[in-house]
Amino acid sequence: MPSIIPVAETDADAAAPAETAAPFTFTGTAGGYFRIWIVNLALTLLTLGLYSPWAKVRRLRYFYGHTRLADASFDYHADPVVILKGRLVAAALLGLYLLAATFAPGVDVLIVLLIFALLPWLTVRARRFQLANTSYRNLRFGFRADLRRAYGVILGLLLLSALSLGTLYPYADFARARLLVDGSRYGTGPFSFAARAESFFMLYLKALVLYLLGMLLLGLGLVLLSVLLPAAGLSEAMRPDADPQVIVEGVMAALITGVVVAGLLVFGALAVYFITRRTNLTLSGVRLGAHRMQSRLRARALFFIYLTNILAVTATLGLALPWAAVRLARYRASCTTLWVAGNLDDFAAAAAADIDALGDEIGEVFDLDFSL
Amino acid sequence: MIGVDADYLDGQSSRVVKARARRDALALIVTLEDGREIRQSLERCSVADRPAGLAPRVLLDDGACLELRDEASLALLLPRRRGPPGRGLLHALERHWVAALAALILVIVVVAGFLRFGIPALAESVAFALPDDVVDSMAGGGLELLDRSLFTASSVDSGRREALRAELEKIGRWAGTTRNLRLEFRASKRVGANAFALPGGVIVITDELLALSEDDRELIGILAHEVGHVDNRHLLRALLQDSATAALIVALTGDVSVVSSGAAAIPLWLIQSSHSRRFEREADAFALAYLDASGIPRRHLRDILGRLSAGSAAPAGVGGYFSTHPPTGERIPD
Repeated sequence: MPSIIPVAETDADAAAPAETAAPFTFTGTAGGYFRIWIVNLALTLLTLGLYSPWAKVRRLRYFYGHTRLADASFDYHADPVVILKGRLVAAALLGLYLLAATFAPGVDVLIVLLIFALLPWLTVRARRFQLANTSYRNLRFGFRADLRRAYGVILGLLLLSALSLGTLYPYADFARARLLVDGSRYGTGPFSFAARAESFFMLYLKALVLYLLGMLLLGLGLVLLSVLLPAAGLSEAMRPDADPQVIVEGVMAALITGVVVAGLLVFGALAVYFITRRTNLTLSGVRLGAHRMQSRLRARALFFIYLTNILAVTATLGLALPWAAVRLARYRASCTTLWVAGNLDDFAAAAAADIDALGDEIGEVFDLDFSL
Repeated sequence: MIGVDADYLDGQSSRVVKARARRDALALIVTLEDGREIRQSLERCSVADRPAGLAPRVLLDDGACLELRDEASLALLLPRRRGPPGRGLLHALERHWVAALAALILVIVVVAGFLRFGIPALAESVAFALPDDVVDSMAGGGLELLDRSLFTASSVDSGRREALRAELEKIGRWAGTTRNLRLEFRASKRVGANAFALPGGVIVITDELLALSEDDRELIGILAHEVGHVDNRHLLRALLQDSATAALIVALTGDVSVVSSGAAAIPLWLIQSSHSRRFEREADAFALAYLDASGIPRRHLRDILGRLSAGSAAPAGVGGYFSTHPPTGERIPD
């Protein structure tokens, strides 16, 4: 029966399927990952770095495999040989860049411009490589994006936000996240992005206000310190043999240390707040068909984890890295939920696509951020 | 054989099917919960290359796989595992704490050895491979910068300047150095009694140091020490070593991006201090060789170094790892 609006065929179809919460959990342990990490490190050193792609795959397999959702786990399938080839190409490019920077000034700028021009293509490739090599319940994810749209969103909007003195940057950020999400699929099931651009503007506005407040706070602290410290140093200055220059230097050193530590804490906290909110906003906007993600990271908890991680890793000269990584993964998973409409059983596989790792690894060497 | 519990994942859908798996002489037999039975010859079964600690997976035809509960189930089903080469060995290394401990010791020995011997040797060969004008052009303008921040004009008379410059020239000739040596005089309350070797072969000596010396033969020892720094290209080597060390630490800890930045600062600083002490020893050895060759008793250099360290009042007993110069007592043997 043709009709202009969809007609519900049965009552069961008309009712939305019940939503149930499926929490993400991370089941890895510090001890378990430490052994994988240290074996990876030893083999990487023994092979002069050639083992590092294998190490990367084993590390990701451990983390994906221990990330569980609805009684099943994720898996990572990249071929280390492909990653090695990509890394060799990237290392050659880096060497070319360094040579150019030393011996042919101007050429290195050209190389940077070229990489900048390739950024959208690299982003799309990296995302495709990452998702095509990720599976859940032995069914692969995938990613496809129109290259023209990628150039418009990533380069075009970036230029536009530069022209608008940054006021349009929140929109550029939003559009980039949307591009990366709504081109993704699980099997043949498409993802979509339900976050709104207004939320991104609000987030950046809040971060800006907090940043200005932080500056104000630091400035006030600075004024307070410069009033209090000379007063404290006064008794020292009363000594007959005191060298005024030494006192001034002592006060300056104390001031600078105080400002640096306070600045690191204030702006570190601010950065964590921003990362937390942006992750929550982006992840909570992710839809897979009728299923929806929810992320409830808390800035205070995350800041505490980062801070204690840095202290522990410093104190152990790096040996606590596996513990720090596992702890962070466990917290992140515990804050993420998939609201499942019905069940997750009905996704079907897409036709396989052949992809090499070039985009991924070039991005890694040049330290570009391809994350969501 | 009774069989083991497993999850069957067909690779075509997102369904997790509960199953029992067993084996006969030729094939792996998987009975699904809906009663279907899948049979695959043992020859075609392989084990997925997953790190230790994860549920083992057996790869089947058409992209399907069987996720087992534990390693014991795998041992029961496929006693002769067919996985990628090296899988068994890697897996064993990752499973056992003894292997982890051995790997840890290996990492510490390799990293410490490379930092202690490898990087300095590399930096040395690179530094001496570079032509003089490249070395001199690097970080030029050091003196101008210091003039603005640290130094004031010297009040040393020209006769003394010329005498010391002549001594410097003698040292340069003796060493056969190819570098351009230049002696500059400055005063500085903040720096106090000290002498520096700057990029480009410039040696700076402070008025405060001249005032501290009781004999010009002491100053010859100091000048020879600084020429030792210049002739051995210590500034360039320190630059190369410090950047290589930083790169190595980033490469090692970059594995997890979470904590890489702040974490490396303290070990980096300790290593740099130890490199610096080695350069001071080299420069001391150079100075002593010159003093011996020109018949000046070693005690002159020891005397002024003693007065210098008494003046700087460095606390005795501070661990060697925290200071940039070796203890004065160790520096000048008889």
